[in-house]
Amino acid sequence: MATATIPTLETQPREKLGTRYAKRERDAGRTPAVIYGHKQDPAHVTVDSRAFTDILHAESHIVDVTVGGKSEHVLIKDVQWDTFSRYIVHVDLERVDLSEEVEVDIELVLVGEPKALNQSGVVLDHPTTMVSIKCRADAIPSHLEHNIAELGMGEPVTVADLTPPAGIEITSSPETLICQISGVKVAADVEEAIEGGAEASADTEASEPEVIGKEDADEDKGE
Amino acid sequence: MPLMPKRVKFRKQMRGKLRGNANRGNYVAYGDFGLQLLEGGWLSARQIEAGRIAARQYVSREGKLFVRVFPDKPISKKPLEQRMGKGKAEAEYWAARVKPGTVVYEIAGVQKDLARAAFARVAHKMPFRCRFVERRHA
Repeated sequence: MATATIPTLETQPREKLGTRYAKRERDAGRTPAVIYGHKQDPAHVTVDSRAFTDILHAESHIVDVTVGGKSEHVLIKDVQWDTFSRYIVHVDLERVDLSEEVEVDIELVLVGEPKALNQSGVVLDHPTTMVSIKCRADAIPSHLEHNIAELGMGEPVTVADLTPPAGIEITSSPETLICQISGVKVAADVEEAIEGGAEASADTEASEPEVIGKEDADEDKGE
Repeated sequence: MPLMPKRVKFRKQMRGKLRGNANRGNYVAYGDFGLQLLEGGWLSARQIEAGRIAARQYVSREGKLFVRVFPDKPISKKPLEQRMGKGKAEAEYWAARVKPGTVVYEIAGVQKDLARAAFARVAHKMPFRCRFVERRHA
């Protein structure tokens, strides 16, 4: 679960900044990035798009980057995607010491198949899929696991119920709901269609919404 | 009742322009899978409802369905054989303005194959090209 090896990434300095130059870099297969933190000047660089995507898929948070021949550890702080999630637009990398404490969002994976889910008309409501944790930079896990095999209908699992490994502190609000098994609400017309096999129709009688301030204006005119 | 606002400040609206791609509502936020539009325009309340019903009928009582758009724009239309002029017509229907990239429906708690098949049926109800998307974790 913990980050076993720290991936390395070569960077190239960006000489010209701005939209058009960034676009040219993306077209050439390189993603614009900025490296900042530790009270040093920010460095505008580019990284290989494919290599960086592989690092993201490996769920790594810490990367060893080389900037101008010098190696430093950075935390992947923010990744911006394009509208259709096809490519990465820009990456924020923050300088870290491996011994310092950092706060990151990591994925929460639910394991186990609750028995309550075997019934028809119930669903596992899972509104929170990421949790914030605080730990040493060299001990960031790729994800947290929580077993929900014994979860019953209507029983909520909150952040307070999570048991993080040693050295990891969860900073998300303890009341945050992670998951709950609840019944599916189906509208009456669709319910009829499901049972009767008939086509439910989207045609419904139209009516008009209330116009704010219209009644007051009518009253004033009447007077 | 069709989807429409409960209260509005003005009964009619100008047509407006729809430029660019969706910068918000363009990723799967609530469910596990979603249906993303690849074109923009007006999505009528009736089309949104037809898509919702198609998805719900296919997955039956499984999964949780989310509709991420709301038709809040009144669209006027003059009656047939009406002479031009005499002011703006009454609102005929309500529509949501959607830009390319908008995720219109999301579903949670179902297998990927079922979600894909359900959204394939929904895509037939949409007036735009669509694609199936998954939650992005990075």
